Amino acid sequence: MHLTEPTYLSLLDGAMPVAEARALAAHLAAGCEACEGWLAGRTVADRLDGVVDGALAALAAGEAGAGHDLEFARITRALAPPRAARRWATGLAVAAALALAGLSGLMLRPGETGRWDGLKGTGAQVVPLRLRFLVLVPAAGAAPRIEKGVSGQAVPPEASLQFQVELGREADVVLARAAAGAAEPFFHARLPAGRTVISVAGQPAAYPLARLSGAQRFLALAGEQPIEPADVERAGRGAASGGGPGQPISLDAIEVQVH
Amino acid sequence: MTGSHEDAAQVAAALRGEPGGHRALYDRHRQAAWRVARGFADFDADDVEDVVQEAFVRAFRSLAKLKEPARFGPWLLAITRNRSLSRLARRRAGRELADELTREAEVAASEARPDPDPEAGAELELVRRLIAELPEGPEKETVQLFYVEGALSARQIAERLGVGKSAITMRLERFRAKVKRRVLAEVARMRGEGS
Repeated sequence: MHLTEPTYLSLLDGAMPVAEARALAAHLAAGCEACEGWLAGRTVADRLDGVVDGALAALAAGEAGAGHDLEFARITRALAPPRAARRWATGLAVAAALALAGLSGLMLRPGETGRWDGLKGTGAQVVPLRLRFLVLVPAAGAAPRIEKGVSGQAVPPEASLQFQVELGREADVVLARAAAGAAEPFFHARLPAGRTVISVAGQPAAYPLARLSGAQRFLALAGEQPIEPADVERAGRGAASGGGPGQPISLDAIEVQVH
Repeated sequence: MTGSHEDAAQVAAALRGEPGGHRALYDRHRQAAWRVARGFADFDADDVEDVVQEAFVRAFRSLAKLKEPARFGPWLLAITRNRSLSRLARRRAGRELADELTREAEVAASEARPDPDPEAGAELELVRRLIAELPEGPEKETVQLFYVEGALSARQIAERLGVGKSAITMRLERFRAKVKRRVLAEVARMRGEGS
């Protein structure tokens, strides 16, 4: 007996007769390429896949891939209820959201919970926004080494960052470096939906990290209306210690460790 | 307290609205979800990050439907794999197919009968044994690099070995299927014993 969808589901659901289950156990334990091929070809994962993936993921040691505050903040923002519902949220719910966001350093203010959404996708309440980046490391006598950046990664001071902004729809966009409770804007333009490589005078531009060290956080703000300097200032304070923008603006942030 | 008991406690905390519950679940399972997503060689670092984020959002949104809170880990990883498959399908065949595939969290959460529970840690031992039994060759090399050493993504392994991305994904999927067949055999054995 080879695996089929009904057989498989009946086994997992506990509906398979005992004698049939015993026969299937023997068949699978003996090894069957056809059944393995069938399992490999399934296009929907279930709890058993989760068990298998859990065991496989537990093989490797090390901290690579551990969570980080910026991502958890994005998840928390995505979990916030729709804006209409938020108006009726209890004080307790607001306090819980605040406590969560506080872990990330990207805090929300009471009454402004509908104004932030860094999540991509149709569920986003404001302009879906994602800040991405490439790391460019110069090489003597050769073309610079270019690799995709991952928030939290270590980069050498001679590197520079080339930013890319992904938008769910056209928006006004500001990029800024968050430093000591302030934001230093270095790019401001209206950008189309989709992914845009940040350019200056038509040429892709990169942000040099020379003279910087330690954790460096960069922000992207996007709004349907023009973003004002006061919005950027508030975002800078938010990235450092709390607070948030005063108008419907999306925020995303990345961080690198320069050393 | 074991990991699954901790999960049950943290799921309960999250459902009570305690913010630390979500964070604890995220911290404990993020790495495994990340490893699942980076097993797809078509994905770059951005894709992996997006899939992980989407998986946690979906899982947390459906937390109240999870019938066995102690099984949060496997459930999250199934969602992660399904988000990965949906993303690939969307990329390859358009949105219609992706929509068909997007039935993971709710389905997985509402399944009526609990799984038989092979001995805790037995799967890990099984995986180690299966790797040791693999004949020397490209599949074993790929499995070692990805699952045992864990430093490289499937895409990076393809680059290092100089083979196509799909070949690496296939090798990993073939090995996964081998593991899954053996775990399924154990489930069938336990059902056959009437448990």
